[in-house]
Amino acid sequence: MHPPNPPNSSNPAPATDLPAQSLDRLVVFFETLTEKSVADLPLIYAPEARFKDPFNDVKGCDAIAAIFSHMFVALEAPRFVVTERISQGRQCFLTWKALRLFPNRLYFFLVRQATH
Amino acid sequence: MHPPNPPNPSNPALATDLPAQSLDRLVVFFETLTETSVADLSLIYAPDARFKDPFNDVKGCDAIAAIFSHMFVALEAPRFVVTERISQGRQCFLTWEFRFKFKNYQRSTEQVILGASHIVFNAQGLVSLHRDYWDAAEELYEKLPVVGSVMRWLKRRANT
Repeated sequence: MHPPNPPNSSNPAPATDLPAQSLDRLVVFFETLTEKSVADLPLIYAPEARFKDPFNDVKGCDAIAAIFSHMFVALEAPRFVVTERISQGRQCFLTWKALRLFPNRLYFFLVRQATH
Repeated sequence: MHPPNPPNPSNPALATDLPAQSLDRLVVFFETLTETSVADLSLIYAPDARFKDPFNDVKGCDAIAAIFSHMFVALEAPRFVVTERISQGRQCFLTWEFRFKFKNYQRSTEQVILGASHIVFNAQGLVSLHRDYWDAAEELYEKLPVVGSVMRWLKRRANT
């Protein structure tokens, strides 16, 4: 397979390009997340994926899905809007706003070794 | 100028490649930062650069330099170790460890705060935006004796 852009030779770790659709579908997953679509998480996350935020540090799709499901129980109409995406190799950063949840505040998260 | 990598056509904001040395010298600046070298900030940041973190939101090299200078007054032996750099066009994310000791509390223990910086460079390769993201609750407040117990209690509550 020939990646469309030459890999960044200065950083060997993320040298393999990520298929473009991996990031796109992750962004779509978050921006359209509903109580029901949380079930699609194993299509996007690796079985051993780790999730860490200020309140959680868990491993595995079930544990991650439980966190997002809890969000719909605890909050009224939570919604993410992705504002920036910066990717290199298999790593990316998304900046996002959680509407209704924390208006006007931006947080970030890091996806390490996103699934292919 | 011909950038070494073809620009990403899907996002015009990311289309212009950054001169490689802009990111390198920023990382070196942070990893070797001292009370004296804070003065070099204006060689790396644009005059109207914005800096935002959980405690500050300022504009201009002098205001940003004052924040870093204060760090050396308030903390013992503060230093940054950059652990990852992810860049695309003129934007980049750095993840880092901020290592320091408190001056009046557990003075022999090195504290570590993990965070990330969203950096946007201008067309001249100077930093125009520096936005830090870190979890102030876990990474800092929980390290303090009184505030820490309150923060841990709040976190338990949020999880129930």
